Amino acid sequence: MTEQQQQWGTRLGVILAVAGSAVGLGNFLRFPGQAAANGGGAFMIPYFCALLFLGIPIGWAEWTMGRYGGLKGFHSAPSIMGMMGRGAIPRYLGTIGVLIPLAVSFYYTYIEAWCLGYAWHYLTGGIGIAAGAPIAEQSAAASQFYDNLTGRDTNGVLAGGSYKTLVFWVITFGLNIVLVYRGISKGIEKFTTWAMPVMAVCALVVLIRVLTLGTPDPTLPDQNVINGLGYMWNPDFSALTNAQTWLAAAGQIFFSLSVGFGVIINYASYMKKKDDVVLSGLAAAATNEVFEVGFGGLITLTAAFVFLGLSGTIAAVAGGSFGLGFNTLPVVFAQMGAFGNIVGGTWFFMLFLAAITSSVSMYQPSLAFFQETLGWTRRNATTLMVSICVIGSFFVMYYSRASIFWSTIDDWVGTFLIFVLAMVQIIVFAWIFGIERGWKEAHAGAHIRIPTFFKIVMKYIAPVYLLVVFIAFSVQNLPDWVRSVAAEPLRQGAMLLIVSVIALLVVCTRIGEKRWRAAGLDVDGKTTQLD
Amino acid sequence: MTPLGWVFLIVSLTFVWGLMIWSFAKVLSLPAEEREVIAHAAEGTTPD
Repeated sequence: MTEQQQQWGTRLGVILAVAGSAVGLGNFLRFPGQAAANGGGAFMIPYFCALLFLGIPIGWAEWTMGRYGGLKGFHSAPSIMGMMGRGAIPRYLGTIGVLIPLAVSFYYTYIEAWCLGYAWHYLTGGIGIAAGAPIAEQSAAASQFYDNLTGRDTNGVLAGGSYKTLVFWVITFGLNIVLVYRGISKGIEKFTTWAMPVMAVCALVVLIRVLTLGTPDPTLPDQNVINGLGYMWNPDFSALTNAQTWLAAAGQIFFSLSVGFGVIINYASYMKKKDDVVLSGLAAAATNEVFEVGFGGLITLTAAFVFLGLSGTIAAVAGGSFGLGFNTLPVVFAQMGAFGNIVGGTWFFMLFLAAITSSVSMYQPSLAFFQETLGWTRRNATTLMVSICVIGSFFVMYYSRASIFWSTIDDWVGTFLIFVLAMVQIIVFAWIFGIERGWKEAHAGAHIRIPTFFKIVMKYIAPVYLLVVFIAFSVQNLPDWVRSVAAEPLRQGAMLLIVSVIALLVVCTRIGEKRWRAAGLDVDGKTTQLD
Repeated sequence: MTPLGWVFLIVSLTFVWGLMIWSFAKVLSLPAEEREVIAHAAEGTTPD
């Protein structure tokens, strides 16, 4: 299939694909922990502020840039940002939009394989937690299973750990590549069009089970569903005076919506000239919020509280997203009796769907990039992309100890560079391309109008808001990150891998730039100024 | 669960579900559009 034939089949298809990209493990595991630790219900005030003034406006800019670039024949962040940003600097900064999804896929598919592994084990008999044993023993069993499956104990899970980990990864990665290779409409769109509703049904099943738990242990009447919801939702207004709360809310919205990730700009580039981007962007963001607030905000901590009590839930939140999802919740499922394995299997299958609808979106940007920079066929570009992903994933899986290797990629690429790309994108859109042109372009074919106030938001408020969050985030995290890279060889190896991928992408961009100029394409956006 | 906890829970759920239902109702009520063909950089052709 040539790129000329690549197009979304339906409006709903692109919305569900973008929503699927946004809905991931963070919606169910990260959001509730962030909310509970930062003011409970009061967290929703800065959270919705960030949604309205940061997430949705930058998302609209990214959708608009993608569609505009696609109509000019470009499908990757470097080419689109070079054209709209009128020059080499935005173009080479645009390589971040290929690097992020590509490098994140190295470990994301690995984590996705854990979800498949957990679902498989639950649906075939459980993960070996004895429900009658003391909670401490059950937690130890859950941790043991987690460590074995993920290879956290020692490096070399491929050689000495559970062979099943590799099997689940091969299945997961293979499925991703098949879907991406089949193309935008026949692969990604068709898959997300059924996967998203199935994921919603799974979430609903688990939600209903959790909300009907009542008070499972009459000797512990305080451990009930209502108090569980209270743990998550009772507001602590004093948290609003803490800058950390506002930072956490902005960070959660930002990462959750997948803005600045390089995916939306690529997906939107396959839209048609008259396709709406305003309503579509809003619908995709709203879908993500339903999964995050409507499901993630009700299921995870409520279930943990009912069975583990206040102290157990606080400890689970302190253990982070993965501790909550892969260590604590299996203990919770063990308390559900005969239905525990079914609920556990449904939960992890749902997480697997959430992960795979995100991971398929991570391969398409680099595939499009290699095709348009090197002028290769889809088959050859896929071969190159798969080769890079296999090498990257091999390092991630082999150097599995304590998740050091992949968490380094997550810190620097999956977190830090997302801020950078979003910042570059909103500046290119609102300041270089121009807010008036961008506004007009966004409304071409739009089925709703963005309130005029958002012009100010997109030009001034969002960039400043983002800059403040980025500076605060950097001050809070970068010194520790730099020190830990200097002290840990595994982290240095991960940085070397990142730099190698960047070098490859820059070289490809340079080759592409020459090809596009030779073909007479408007690489620097000179003629597009006349639009 | 305090009364304010319920308020935050209900308002948040109403907002996110309301926004999604409203958005999808608008999307699904739109008429179908035709496909169109454009030139692409991958083929080294000049776009319209």
